[in-house]
Amino acid sequence: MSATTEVTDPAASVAAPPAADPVRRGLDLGRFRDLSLVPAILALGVIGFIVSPAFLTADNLIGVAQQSTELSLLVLATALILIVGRMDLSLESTIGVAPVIAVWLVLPSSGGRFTGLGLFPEWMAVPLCLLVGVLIGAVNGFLILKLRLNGFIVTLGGLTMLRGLQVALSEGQSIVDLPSSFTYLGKASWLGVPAAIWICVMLFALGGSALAWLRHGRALYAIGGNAEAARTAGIRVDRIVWGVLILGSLLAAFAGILYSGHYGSVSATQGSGWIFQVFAATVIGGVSLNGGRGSVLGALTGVLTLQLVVNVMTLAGVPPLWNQFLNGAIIIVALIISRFASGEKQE
Amino acid sequence: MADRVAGDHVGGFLGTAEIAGPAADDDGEFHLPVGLHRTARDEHLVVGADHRAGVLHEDHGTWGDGGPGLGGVVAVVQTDADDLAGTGDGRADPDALGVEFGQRARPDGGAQPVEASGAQKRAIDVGGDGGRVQQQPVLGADGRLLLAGGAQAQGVAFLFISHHLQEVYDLCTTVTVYRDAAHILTAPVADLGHRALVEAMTGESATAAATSAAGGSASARTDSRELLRIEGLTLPGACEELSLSVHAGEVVGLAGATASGNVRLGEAIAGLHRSDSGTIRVDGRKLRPGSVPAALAAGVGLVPEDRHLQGLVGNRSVAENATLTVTDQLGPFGTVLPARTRTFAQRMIRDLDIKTPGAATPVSALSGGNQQKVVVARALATDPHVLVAIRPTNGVDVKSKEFLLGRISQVADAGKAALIVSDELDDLKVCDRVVVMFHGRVVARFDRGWKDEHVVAAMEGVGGPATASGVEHTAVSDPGQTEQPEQPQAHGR
Repeated sequence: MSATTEVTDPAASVAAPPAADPVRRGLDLGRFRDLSLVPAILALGVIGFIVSPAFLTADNLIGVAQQSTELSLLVLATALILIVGRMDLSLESTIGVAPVIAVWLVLPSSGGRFTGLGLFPEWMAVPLCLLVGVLIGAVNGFLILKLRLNGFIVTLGGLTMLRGLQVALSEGQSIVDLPSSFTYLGKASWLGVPAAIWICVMLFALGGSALAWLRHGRALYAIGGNAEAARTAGIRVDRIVWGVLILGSLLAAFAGILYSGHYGSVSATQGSGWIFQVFAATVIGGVSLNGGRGSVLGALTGVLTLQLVVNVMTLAGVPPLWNQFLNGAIIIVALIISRFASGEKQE
Repeated sequence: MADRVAGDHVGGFLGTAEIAGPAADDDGEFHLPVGLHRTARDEHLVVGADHRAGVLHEDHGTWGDGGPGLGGVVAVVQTDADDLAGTGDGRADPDALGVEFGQRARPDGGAQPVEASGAQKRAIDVGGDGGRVQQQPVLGADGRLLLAGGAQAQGVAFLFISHHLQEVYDLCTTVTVYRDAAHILTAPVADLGHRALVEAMTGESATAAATSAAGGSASARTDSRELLRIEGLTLPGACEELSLSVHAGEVVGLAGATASGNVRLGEAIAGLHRSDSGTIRVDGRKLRPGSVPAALAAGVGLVPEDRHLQGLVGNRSVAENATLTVTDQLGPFGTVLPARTRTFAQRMIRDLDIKTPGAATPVSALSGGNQQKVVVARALATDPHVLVAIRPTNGVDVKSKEFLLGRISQVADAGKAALIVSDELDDLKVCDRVVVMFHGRVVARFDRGWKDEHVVAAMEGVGGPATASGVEHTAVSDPGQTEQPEQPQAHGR
């Protein structure tokens, strides 16, 4: 019997590349994957420049950055939570309810338009707001990790419940008479740039460094990639996931402080409907919904892309009635771009 | 020895063969240009191809969905020990066996692969009418025999990709071996002895490899320090009042069939399960039950049963996986320094001879054997006192298997203790002693020189002849009885 199974030129496949080469290529590829949206951002810049001379001015760009800050903090939180393999939809309610509870606890019980309890001095507003964030994250973690409830549904319930709590406490109205300590960070400007931008940049740098170089940060990838393998390697999976959920809610509460300070009030609909944009920005930034993949830097490029699109459309005079349609379309297009720029399936 | 290896199931995944467009030429002979993916693999590929000349005709065959007439059908069968969910011998679980992907030749010569994932449990039944191909569940090796018979009867080319040597002999007329992405040989199966085939697959003499593994450690060293001591351990649903001890320099086998509780016991030592009562001591230190970090700190290294489920983070690098247990040693103040990680990983890659393009390669790109080496590297990274290896050669190729077992023996030679939890006789070969569990109890203990059939009989719960030479047999005839097996101090006599 003759041999009819042939090899396609074994010599070609045997010729393995030198050992060092693929390593370098792998690293470069990894870096490139994080930044797959950078070309899209540059393209948006060019389009913005063509559309309106007002685009490429410091005022406009700082404005875009400032508007991105609150959203980007939620994106940072979502990126961390997604990388560890979980979800938290209630973040968009935390951004509203945490400031409301904090303000409700410190504002005097008579005199103002909004009557609080006056239980704490006014300077306590910021710490209280952050504490509320921590509590929300801790409760979410308890329900998901101890009672083993489905995280998606639990936080969906949390989203609705916390939004309801905010409406009930604020009686459905915006709270305008905020303590000055509470509005400082959202209003202040350091070295000519809003403090919120500095803080965001710093938090993203911290988050990125932690994921790259900290033991517990790197554990996030291991847990999101294969929680059981992480457990057998001695990583305290539940403890770290709980910590990440708390950190996420804390970031959302902090975003609430920046947002309230920026607009000088806690609006009743603060954060409402944001979670879709947050998820869209995170995913087009290269973070996998299945956990274990992505970076906070990539997520940041996702937010910037979405915000730039809105800005360019506004400058181009697109009727606001089309905004929602275009926003959705942009998300899908951005997904397609990042899918092919990174060469990875987004499952 | 070589005959036994070849005749038995030989574990090992064999790489990916890509059929890049089979096409029948004028005289009806079927040519399969087989290209090999060379990723980070170092593979042994056995392809048994039954290609009877002139078997394919233009008027043959429709694919299962009743599509248009096709130029011919090629059945490509690939078995992958990775997917033989934990049955050990690769035959016991019929559902996990079968055709991984089918491939059909289109008249234009293109090939259309059927997705491997969904088709794993399906077979191509070529015995249907008029060359019609259907997919249905296959019944293990017998099903494949039928399949091959059907293929021959129908005059359909049949390509079988496997490391199950016996099946290659049963099913195929011609065998082709690839190793390291190179074509090694193509020969009629009938003319090729088991020994020659194994040698072609491994590239080294099978007898030499077998003896080097078996000659690991000569005698039990029970007079040395006791590194692992289990006393009266009760794990819910797994074992009751179990005692066991492993000394420095010893490789002890913990054998048992699937429901015997041996795997759970191994995992409990590593802190994965909480015990109801009893203690586990490592080098005299009592372990906190149910805590993996505590077990790691006390010096337990674990090679988990299933590397995909418990051992590896697939999309992370070899370096990261190999150092996952030692992240606390890779930098000050809770940091993990990339340079130190890389250095550490390079050392493990050299130590375990992991074939990878680099430390930064995702571990999922490696072959089964090399992935398993990464899991072992992860367990050895902490330099453990006690290495618990659960089915350490599950789904790896022959060469890696010998290597891994040899490496585990080295752990014992270096003065540490190793516990091999397995139901595979090949794994137990390197052990100084074998303790057999059945339904949560120790039913037999064997010293070196045991007979395979006695171990198997004990694993199956059949009281074997206790008088055989070199066998110390303390079979518990009635599993309902709560009497204790002998005390740990007693063995090694």
